[in-house]
Amino acid sequence: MSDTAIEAAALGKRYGRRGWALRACSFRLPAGRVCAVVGPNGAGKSTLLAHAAGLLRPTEGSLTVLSTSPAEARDRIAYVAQEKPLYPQLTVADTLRLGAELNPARWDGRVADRVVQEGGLDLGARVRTLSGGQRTRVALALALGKRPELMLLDEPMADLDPLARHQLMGTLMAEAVEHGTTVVMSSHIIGELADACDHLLLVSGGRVRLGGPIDDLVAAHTLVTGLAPASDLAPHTVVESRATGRGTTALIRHEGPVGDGWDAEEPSLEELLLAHLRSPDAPPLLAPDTTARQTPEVAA
Amino acid sequence: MVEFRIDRRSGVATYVQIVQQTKQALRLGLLEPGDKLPTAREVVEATAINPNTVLKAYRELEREGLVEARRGLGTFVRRSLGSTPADSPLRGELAQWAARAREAGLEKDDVAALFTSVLDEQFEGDHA
Amino acid sequence: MSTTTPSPATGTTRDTPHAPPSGAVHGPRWVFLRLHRTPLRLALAVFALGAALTGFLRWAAWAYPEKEFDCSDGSPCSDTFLGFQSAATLLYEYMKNVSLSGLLLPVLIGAFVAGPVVARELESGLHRLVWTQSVSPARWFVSRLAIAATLAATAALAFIGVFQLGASGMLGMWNLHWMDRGVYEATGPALVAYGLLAVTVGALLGLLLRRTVAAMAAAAAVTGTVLLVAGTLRWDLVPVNTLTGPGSVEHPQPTGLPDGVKIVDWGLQNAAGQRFSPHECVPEKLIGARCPSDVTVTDWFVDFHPRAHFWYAQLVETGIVLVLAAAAGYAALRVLRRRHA
Repeated sequence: MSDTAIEAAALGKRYGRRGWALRACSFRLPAGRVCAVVGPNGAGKSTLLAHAAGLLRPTEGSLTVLSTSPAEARDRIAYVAQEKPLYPQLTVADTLRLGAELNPARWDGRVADRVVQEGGLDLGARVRTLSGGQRTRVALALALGKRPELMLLDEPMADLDPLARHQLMGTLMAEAVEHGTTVVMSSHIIGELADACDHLLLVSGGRVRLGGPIDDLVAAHTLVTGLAPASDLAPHTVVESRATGRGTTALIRHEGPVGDGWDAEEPSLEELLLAHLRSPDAPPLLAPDTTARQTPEVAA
Repeated sequence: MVEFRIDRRSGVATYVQIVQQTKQALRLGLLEPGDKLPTAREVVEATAINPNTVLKAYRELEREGLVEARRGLGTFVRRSLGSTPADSPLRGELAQWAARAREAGLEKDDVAALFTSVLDEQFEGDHA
Repeated sequence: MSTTTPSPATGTTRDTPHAPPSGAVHGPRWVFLRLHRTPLRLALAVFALGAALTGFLRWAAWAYPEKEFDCSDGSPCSDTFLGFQSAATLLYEYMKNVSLSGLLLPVLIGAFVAGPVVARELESGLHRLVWTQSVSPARWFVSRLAIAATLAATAALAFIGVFQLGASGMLGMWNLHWMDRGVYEATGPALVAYGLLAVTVGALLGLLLRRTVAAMAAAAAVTGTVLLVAGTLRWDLVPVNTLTGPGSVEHPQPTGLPDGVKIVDWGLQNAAGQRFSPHECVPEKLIGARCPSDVTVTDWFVDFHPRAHFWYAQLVETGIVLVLAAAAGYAALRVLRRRHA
């Protein structure tokens, strides 16, 4: 099994006149991680996942999946698109049969059946009669039944009630731990993914802003409060600073210890993300071992 | 079999919660040497947390010598923690001390703060 | 943080996949037949009904021949059959309509492939579901084309069979002629070729337009136009036979013209062999008519296709349509490969 799940080198995608959806994305996602792809709506998360799923061709740069092209890795990837497309005229049972027919070498009907039955779904019900959450469950059953090495889930939890969310996330994590599956989930809300994920890609404005193990990313930043102006914080990289009362609150990437006169705290993941989203000009940060190994030929 | 309850609002790192709850179970005698901890699969399926978090907690417990991983079998408790059964002399002394504190007019919160500060002083430098 | 390793308690062996589901058809073909089960069943039912009706009318025409009565006392001169003059008349009227409905068959096939089979998937994003299973888009597409082509050819052959059932032995009589639009198509391999053309043209337009209704309309329009144009051009594909000889205004054809031929042109010619129209140039030249200077009639002429040209026309037309179908199929595959990995 490859040690790299996804690797992007200067990946860019332009949609005709709508402009660039992704630009100069370079990162590496090691295999075996549970990765959250986080960012505001329209940031390029779906475009990124669709490239990994082999549904889109890069306008520039390249992207490899499981150390090969997405097309070559097709049978080892499962992808659930944001709209959870399913054939409305099929029954739940026939939808799972479709998974078996189209993935003859890998299909595990037990996992798929269990996921559907845990949701109390009627196997004879037509997909068009299902609620959004039930459709999500069927789509995830189809993805899990394929027994992929890499799961790409675009906003998987959006339509689910809290109980189903907890249950399905548990099932996903169980599959991940049992088979070493790499899971990539996108969301514009980090809260619903924070417990499940150990790796993060923050995408905004078509670029990767942060990438790496969540613990490392959090540990690389410090939330400081003090009476001095933000300019005193050199040589640290200031991601965001705000005047609070007479002093300054800032999120920094520390270079060595923070000087005296500053009250230092570890930021929460949410604070870290929000600070980066509010400061689009802050330099991107990729944790060591998550930078692209390929040398991009096209650099933007 | 212990079940872990993950409190997302506690501010305590998830793996630390698992370590603490395991230790608590050891102290209370809910887990005894030879008992099997739930597999990572069982824990993540029930809690929907990241598998690496569970493995990290188990590695921490292993490092402290409390559990051992037996290949292909699971993770087992090696030793119990200095348990404090309900009838131990230490508990009796603490109960007497608490009664005296109450007679002295201390509120429950005052007693707890006092107790915690003494604990911090005595165990300074140790890590949970 | 390390990567997740399989937990010791659960082991590392991958479970063997389940045995494939039972049934004769598997993979993309099963999916095709299941997805389009309702329209395919409907088409089968219409065919079965049509075949049964044709068989019944054929039988009725044989079992209830027209009887002449003595109508001198004011009673009807002949029996009627279901309001028609006779069962044979009803069969003829019915077969005339059946022959024309054969022209609809490729149009319907084109619309079906363009819309429900290809464009609807792209329009509703379902391609993102099927193309991320283990089957590549190209294989998925080719397998759909293959099964649609098989069904289209079968439908065309079944239609030809039903037409034979109803009209064999009737051609040349009753105004059902081998060269008539509809009859021509319903009696030869060209209809199969048109079915296949409809499949690939439908697929190409479905891919290009990506909108169900628009693709259906475009595919129906293109297929229908090709059928109409071909109906006009096909008689130019085979060189005509020409017969010249004496004729008259009462009998404006050279004598000796066989029955049941497709007449393409006829008129007069002078000693130099220049042709002109009997109505425009003689007895006097109409304004604007193009006539040779010498309008002395030496002979009548007629350009015609004898019955034997039917097979030439069918085979040449079938060949051309098959080449067009292959070109459309190839173009569709190119479009698919260019747009999607």
